[in-house]
Amino acid sequence: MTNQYRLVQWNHHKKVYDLLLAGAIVVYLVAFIGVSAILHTGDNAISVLIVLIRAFGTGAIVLLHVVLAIGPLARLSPRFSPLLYNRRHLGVTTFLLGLIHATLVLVFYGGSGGENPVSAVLGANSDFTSVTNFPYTLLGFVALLILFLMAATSHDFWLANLGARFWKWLHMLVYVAYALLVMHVVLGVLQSEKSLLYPILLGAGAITLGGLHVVAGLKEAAKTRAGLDARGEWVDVCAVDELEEKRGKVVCLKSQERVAIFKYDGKLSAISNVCKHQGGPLGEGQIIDGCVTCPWHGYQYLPENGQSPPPYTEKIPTYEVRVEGDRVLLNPKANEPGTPVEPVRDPKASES
Amino acid sequence: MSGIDLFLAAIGLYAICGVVFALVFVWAGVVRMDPAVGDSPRMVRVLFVPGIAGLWPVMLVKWIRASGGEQS
Repeated sequence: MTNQYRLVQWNHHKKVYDLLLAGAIVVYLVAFIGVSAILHTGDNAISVLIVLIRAFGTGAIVLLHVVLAIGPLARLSPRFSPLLYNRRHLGVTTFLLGLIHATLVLVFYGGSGGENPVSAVLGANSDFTSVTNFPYTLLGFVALLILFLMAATSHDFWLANLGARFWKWLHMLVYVAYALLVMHVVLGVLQSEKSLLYPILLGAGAITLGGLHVVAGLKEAAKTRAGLDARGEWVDVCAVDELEEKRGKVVCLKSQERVAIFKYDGKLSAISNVCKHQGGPLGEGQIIDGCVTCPWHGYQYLPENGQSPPPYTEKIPTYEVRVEGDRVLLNPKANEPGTPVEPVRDPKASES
Repeated sequence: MSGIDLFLAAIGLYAICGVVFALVFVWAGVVRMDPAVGDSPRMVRVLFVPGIAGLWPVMLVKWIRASGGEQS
């Protein structure tokens, strides 16, 4: 949280996540190089450097697909939420794989003569009106610049100092980078390859990603349409039994605000569902050490006042809750961020 | 000079300005803009250099605003 910055916010889970990521990348690269060695023999043999260029390039694109798929997958099923927890490291790794790919391209294609290698690679093709002579390397270069900006601003410092709106806008450029990379691959392959394997695989990836985003968007829209009416009166949320101990239930109001109601230690409290850090869904997290813990990056808030525990200073809105019979009712009017609200006793807990 | 060379020269110039600005900023300006950096390990500032170099016009404006706010 924000009273002090650390180089990398590692904990046990994030270390395991990063080790699995590093292992998966090594396996991918070794498999790619092995399969290439088998397929390209004799007259079809290609340079080791070209194999490495392709291995790192395809690795970056595969990882970018994973990065872009995690968001909609987590919205479709909470089982994928743990993947969101460390997504920023996936993004930085995608950039690093792309950077290695670009560096190898410069070494292989830009190394001869006295010309600037970057200029040689980017200027090799220069006809923007031709498919067969389109400067596709320029598309990859611009995509790499975007991935660089995103990787360089992935630390919490940037979210705090650029502001959530600008930071979000900057990081939404990942979709521009993705579109540029799709064109980079398709045009590059059309110019230098006979096989259509790469464009077909990429097309399948793009269709899958598009489909996931559409389905997740429709699900969110349906949730909003079914939202509880919030015209000032208390709204009936659910039966007390529907709430799981130390887990949240997300309620969508007609105003499109989302509220997370938590049951813990025989009490009920409600806070905004939106984490102050990066807008993570607090209701999909759980109560750890007495605090609601965001499933994305572990930011914590006390359920009774929406404040991060000292020395942290983040605050989110709170809501009043009451219980009538076995029903949980919510006052849809949000309190100012950090306003203490007395938790309601869980009648079932009192009975037992 | 070709279009690509001009493009690369512009990016190179932007990057050089960015790196110079970033080194000055992490040494002299970043704590004024974000006091939490002052309480953090000094190595953290190294991590900010690439981003500051890439977004140096934005950070320059923020630095000027932070300095103006402090004076008033």
